[in-house]
Amino acid sequence: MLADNHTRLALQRLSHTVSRSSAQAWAGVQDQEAVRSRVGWARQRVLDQLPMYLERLENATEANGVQVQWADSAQNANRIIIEILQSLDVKEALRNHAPLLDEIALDKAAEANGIDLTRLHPGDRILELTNSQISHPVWPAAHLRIEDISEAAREQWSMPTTVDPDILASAIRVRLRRRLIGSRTAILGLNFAVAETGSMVCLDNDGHNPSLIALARNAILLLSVEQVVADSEDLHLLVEAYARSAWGRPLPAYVTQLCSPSPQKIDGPRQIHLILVDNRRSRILDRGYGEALRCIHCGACHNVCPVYQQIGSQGYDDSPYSGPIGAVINPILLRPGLAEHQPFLSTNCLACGPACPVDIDLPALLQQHRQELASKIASSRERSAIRLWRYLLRRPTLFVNAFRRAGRRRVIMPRRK
Amino acid sequence: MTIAIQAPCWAQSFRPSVTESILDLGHRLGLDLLAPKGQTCCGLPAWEAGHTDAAMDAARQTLRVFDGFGAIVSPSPSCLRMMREHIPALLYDQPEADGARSLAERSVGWCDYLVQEIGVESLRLRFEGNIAFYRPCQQEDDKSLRLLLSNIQSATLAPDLTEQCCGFGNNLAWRHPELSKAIAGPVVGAMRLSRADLIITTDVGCLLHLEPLLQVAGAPPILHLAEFLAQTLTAEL
Repeated sequence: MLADNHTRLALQRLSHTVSRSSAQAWAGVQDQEAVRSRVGWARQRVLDQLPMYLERLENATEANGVQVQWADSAQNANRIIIEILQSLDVKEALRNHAPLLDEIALDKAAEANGIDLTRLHPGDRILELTNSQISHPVWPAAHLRIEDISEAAREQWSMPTTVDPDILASAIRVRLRRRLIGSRTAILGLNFAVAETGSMVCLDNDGHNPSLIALARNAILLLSVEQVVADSEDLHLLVEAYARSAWGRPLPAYVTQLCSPSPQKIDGPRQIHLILVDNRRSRILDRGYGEALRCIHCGACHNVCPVYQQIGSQGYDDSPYSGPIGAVINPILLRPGLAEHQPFLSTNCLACGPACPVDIDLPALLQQHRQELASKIASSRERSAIRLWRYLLRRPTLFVNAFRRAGRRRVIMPRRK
Repeated sequence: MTIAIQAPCWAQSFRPSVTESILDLGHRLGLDLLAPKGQTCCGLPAWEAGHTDAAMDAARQTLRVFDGFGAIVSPSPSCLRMMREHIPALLYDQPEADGARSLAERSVGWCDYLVQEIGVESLRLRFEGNIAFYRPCQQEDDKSLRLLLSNIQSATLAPDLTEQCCGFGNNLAWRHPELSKAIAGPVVGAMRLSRADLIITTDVGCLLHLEPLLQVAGAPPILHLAEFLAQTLTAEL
């Protein structure tokens, strides 16, 4: 369950640094609490009337010349992508860093269909290079040592050993740019899409999204349905909130907005496909966890979670989402079995609630899972412990004695000497 | 009117000195304090684990025990939160709903009560050395606590150690003991490197979780605020 020592230290350091710069970025905001609840409302208002906003988005994007399709499941999203690629007769594509693309396991689907898919985000590329797994949603390769990256670059690219991060970063970028220039097709997971204007938005800090959009002839864009935004004013608020919480900056380094295909111009895609992916999000709404769909995947709850910092993304059973928000949505999004484990990955420290820029009451949602599930999933050992505990509640002397005995047998507390 | 002391289950079983210290201080300060008999658990561990029925049993027992008392003082912020927030929510549609609301209104942090009723000026506290305060996650307001600590003669207050959770979390400690212990790592590290002679905290859970780890790490000793005050209050009152 615990991540290795190096990862744990790296995640603690990262969390500390990002939380601090994020707090500074938010400190520059006048009337912070009011802004947070306004940002939360920007998300909640679309969730309250999701079908209406999605219809508006569909109409606006189609009016702009975008081809829109709907996918109710991950399989269907992948099927649509592959069909588009086949109709374009394309064997190569580039993708951005987006949790939705990982959620639908696009990389596997591409491989199975003979598509050569390259991840253009340098962090993702480092994970591939070193053959390691993601550890943080915004900073995927945060746990890797510079020496490990250099060693992998030496083995695979015959690069001289270096501990200079700039040299390694340029080496990675140069290779990615070669792929970028040769490629014609981009697959992007979007951060947001605006119902009012049909504009589709990606945020990043390294420029891989604008490069992809500028050079691709064909763009396949994916939006998870809940990330629709009502209007440009809401978009503005959300972009700022994301930048403050994810990167500790007042604004993202790059905001890429795409509205319509440009058949005549040199820059930008000639064809744009938009796929609206539900993949069980309706179930999250139906099951009474809709508030969790406000999430903009900024990683703020990860950065304050003491449990996440010890187990990393990998501690969440290879789910695409991790941290407190992952523990809330994974059991509904993926498989119910995860509820037996993930909502209990909590110390009840309540830190994630106030950290969330869109005002999701994460501690309450975790508690809701535990209350719904405890009676169903408790082990027989837990059941008998609870039965005994209830019996002892009205018998104080026995209660204290039993508690002491359990303590001595290390049943209730990790006592160690 | 007699004031009831809420005795946390962890304290009753593993740290009776917390309740004893509160009683001792109360007598010396002329307060009419009593730890009512029949106390077992406020229900927090069951509530956090999602066992609502069991938590309701404990909530009802808590209501019975504190029936008829004016104020109820709690030395542990997590139990206090249970009594103030979760018990009224658990019993909101039960016959005991009014009792639960009343319990919530009467429950107060022991330190807040002390500072309000006695006032820090009249407490003569003396400690030679450097004190650090570890703030438990469940502690809502620590104004009165800081006021109290800053009023101790000859003592210096170390900068706050860390805001991070100690990792106890009731359920986590028995579900994933290794994880629970690992989370304490950075907290223990910060305490070991602090120049404090003594660490003070308020939650009995954090205290019991951290104490053995601090001993192993060669870090300063940790005490509950009540234990510390009982030792520090000078005799000439």
